Amino acid sequence: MIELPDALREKILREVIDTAPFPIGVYTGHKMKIVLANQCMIETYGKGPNVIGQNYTEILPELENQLIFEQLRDVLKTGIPYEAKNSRVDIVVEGVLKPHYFNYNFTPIFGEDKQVYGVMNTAAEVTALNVSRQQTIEIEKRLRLAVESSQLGTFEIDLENGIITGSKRFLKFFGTPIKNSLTLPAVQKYIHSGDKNLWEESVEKMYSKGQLQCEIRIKIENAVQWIRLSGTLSESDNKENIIVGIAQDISEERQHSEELLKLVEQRTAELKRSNDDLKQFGHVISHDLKEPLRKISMFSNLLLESADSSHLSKIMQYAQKINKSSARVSEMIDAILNYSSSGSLDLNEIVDLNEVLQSVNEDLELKIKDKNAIVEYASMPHLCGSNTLLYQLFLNLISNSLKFSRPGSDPIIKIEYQTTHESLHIFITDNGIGIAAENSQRIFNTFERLHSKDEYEGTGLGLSLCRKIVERHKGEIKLIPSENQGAVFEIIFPINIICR
Amino acid sequence: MKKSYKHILLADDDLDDCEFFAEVFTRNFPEVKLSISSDGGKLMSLLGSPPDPTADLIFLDLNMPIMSGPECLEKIRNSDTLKDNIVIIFSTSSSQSDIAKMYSLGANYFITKPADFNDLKNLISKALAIVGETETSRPAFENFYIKL
Repeated sequence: MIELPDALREKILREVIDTAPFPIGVYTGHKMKIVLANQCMIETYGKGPNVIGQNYTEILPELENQLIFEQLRDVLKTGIPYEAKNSRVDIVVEGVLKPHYFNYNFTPIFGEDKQVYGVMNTAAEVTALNVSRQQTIEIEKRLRLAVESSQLGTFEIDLENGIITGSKRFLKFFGTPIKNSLTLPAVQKYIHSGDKNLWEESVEKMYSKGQLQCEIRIKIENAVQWIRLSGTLSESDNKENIIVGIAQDISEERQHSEELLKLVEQRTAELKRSNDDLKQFGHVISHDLKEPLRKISMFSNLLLESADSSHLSKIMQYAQKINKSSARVSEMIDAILNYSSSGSLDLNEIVDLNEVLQSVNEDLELKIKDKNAIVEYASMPHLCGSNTLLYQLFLNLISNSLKFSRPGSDPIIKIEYQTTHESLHIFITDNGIGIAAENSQRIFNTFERLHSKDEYEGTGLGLSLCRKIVERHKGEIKLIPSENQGAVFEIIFPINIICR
Repeated sequence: MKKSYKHILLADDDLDDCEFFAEVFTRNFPEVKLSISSDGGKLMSLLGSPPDPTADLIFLDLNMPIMSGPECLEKIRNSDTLKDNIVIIFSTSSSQSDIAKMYSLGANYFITKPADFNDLKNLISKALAIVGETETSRPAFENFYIKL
């Protein structure tokens, strides 16, 4: 400071102290009487304007137990300055006790006699800084919790040199020891061959747009993992050209969606099949069902024409034909009803196949007697399935065997089974007219008929219903080549259909 | 000159339909010989050894066991000795796709089995009259399907 007259010099100093934007105060004596406090300090005390001349210890009783008074007295006693950084001081301002943070100094002021005359208190309030630091810590804590609980890995990619540093979990994705860092070319090696192009495109985009966004498969020693990487250019001043991001193992998510897709495909196939069935019904209603109705109409015409004549035998013949045709209509409607209702039944009943075969035998009693047939079966297992459907299955198969018996020989129908580790095989063998190998697939089609209907009556629904029932029980039915004449049907169910 | 046919073949696995068909001929065309085969295989073997008198008009059902109507038609059209036979499809079907398919396979005419005996009589008479005029030449598609 240049030489100035004392009065001016003192005025300037007083002005500087008074208007300084940080608190300055001077205390003397054991009770620390406030001899000087600038405007800023008066505001910091928060105890109104009239504090000068009062004792520091009395106007700030809340500082008791906060070590401040001790620090001050030490300085007074020893003359050694005291400095505190970022120190929390709780002060009552306008009647409310609140934490404040200060960098503050207690500097001894020496008198002429080299003795400590008083203490100068300067301070810089850093409360705002501390609050934001605490908020940052809080945010970081929450972020860490989020990262941890969602199993995220974090990473940084230095675009200058391609070096990737990452969290423990991130490095684990790549099977890399924790201390090592990765590089972009090293990561390239782990990318599944099917995703290499995608990865290259994503890296290119990361360099051009500062954004990394991709879902790729990482392959490490035959183990494949789906990883989602999302990163963006860091906005920190000290992290230029660095991509920061998170990585997530989405293998499970992918697997779920693949399973879902499979399920959708399966359901679609089922729907398509039931749709196709419906189309076939449409075909039948327009075609097969129309046929007996047409006959009824034709024979009625002829019957009417003959009514006034004396051809009684003709009249009776036409009436019988009409009866037969209406019986066919009704039989077909029943078959269609059976076929369409086989879709909605309880498949978890315990079914005793012995009982099923017993009741099939009883229901077919007349036909069996008529044909002099023998139906043989050993002790059959109990299955888990639908009683109604399994009854229909055997009813259809056994009626078929009876229907297609060889003229001149008594039908013998055998039902046998054997098991393997995976499956239950049921065989239905007869000695009838047999089915040519080239027709072994056609017979299971809806409304397929190998014989003219005047030769063997039937709706053409029987075997397709059998196939549908077996498939509903997760099995398959097929015609297998027979050593002897006759037909052999094999039904294969998964072994867990057997009730233990 | 109008041609009349002496020997007509019918292939149909439906015996009732065969009976209706035969009834029409007994009543209206007693001079014509009618031979009935109950499936396509029997029809082809009948055609294999020349029938007497020579047959030149065939009524053919579509859905038959052993050999279906379309299969018979293809065999007839691919055979040097049989290809000039007039083939009239006689089916329960009235679907446009069946009609178009049989036209493209080379059938001469197409009749849908009616639900009335008098209609059947009239349809057969009409068919015989038409083929008496056109003989082996095939009609345009719009005249392929014969209806009352």
